[in-house]
Amino acid sequence: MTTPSVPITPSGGQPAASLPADTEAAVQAALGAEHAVIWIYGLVSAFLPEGYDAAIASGLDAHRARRDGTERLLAAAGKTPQPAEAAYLPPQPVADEPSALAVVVLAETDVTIAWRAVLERCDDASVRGAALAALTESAVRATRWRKAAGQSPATPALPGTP
Amino acid sequence: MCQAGNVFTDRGCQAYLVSSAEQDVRAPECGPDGVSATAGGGLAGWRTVRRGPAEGDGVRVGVERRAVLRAGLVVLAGVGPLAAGCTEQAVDPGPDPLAVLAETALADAAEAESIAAALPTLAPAAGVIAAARREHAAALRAEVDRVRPTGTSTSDATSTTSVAAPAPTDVAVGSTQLQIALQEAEKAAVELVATLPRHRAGLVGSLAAGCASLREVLA
Repeated sequence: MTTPSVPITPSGGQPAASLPADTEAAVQAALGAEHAVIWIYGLVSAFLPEGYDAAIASGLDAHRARRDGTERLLAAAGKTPQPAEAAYLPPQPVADEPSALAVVVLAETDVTIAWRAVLERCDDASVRGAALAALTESAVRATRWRKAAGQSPATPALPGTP
Repeated sequence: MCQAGNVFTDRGCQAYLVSSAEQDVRAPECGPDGVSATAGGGLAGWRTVRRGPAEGDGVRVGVERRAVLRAGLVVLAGVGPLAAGCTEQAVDPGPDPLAVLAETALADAAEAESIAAALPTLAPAAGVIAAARREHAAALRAEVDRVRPTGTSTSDATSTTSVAAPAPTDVAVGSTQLQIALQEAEKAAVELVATLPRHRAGLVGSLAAGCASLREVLA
């Protein structure tokens, strides 16, 4: 009966925005870091005691939401989001609580670096906003994990600086 | 407009040209992004100037050099008005917004130091905050000075801003004071990120994330 007057796009009503090549590459890399950190949270959950369950769950939720949002952003610009790898190799073997905490800190830190790189490679205000939010959230979460691991200082002065 | 600086830096022209051009050309918005984005125009301009004397057969080195120097002067004459336009535009908005952030960072560092000295319970966290805020100030100052190398502005901001109120004697008050300062610093940084050129957006974004993380250090 009625025909929709607004064309349907992947982002749900928003017109598809174009992404310059350098912005797209940085966003794809950030998506890769999100895939990796999600995998790492799954890995460390096997080595961390129950007390960390809530922190793991909230970290996983946040990164899954960020991953989905990033995939939508890419799809809306007509790009194919980079898929997750089957597995990720931690730089140090994870065998106990300290090594598990160390690898989560590392994965969150990688995420901050990836999103800061997006900030340096985009002009679009909404992409910048998303990158800043992702950088800040990961930096705060990394700080919590460093505190849990007893590291000091618990944060670098400028998180995301490569 | 700012591409004029490229003519010299990219081609490695004579030293005196570089130094005399730099002052005119370096204006706040001439960041790395502007430079790379406009490289094509600047280089093309340089090539046409140079082609004249080089095309003739048997051009002696001396002639080549003189021609290059003369060409340099011609380019400089052209740069003058361009650079003037560039600086005018940049001066209008007032002080570099990053200089303002740097001053706040120094003031916050001084406040955190006095709180760390007065309240041993807060000393570890306040010490981390003080060190980080000093690092923020240094990074911001480096970027401000990179763009405006003369440094006529607020290099002695330390002395003026570190005259802080006496440190609180209550831990809760001290902690709240630090939290509020970090919150305000984060807010100022976040508001700025949207408007900055790319490389500055990265720095100021990290600054915002750093302030948010420092609040977590305090928690």
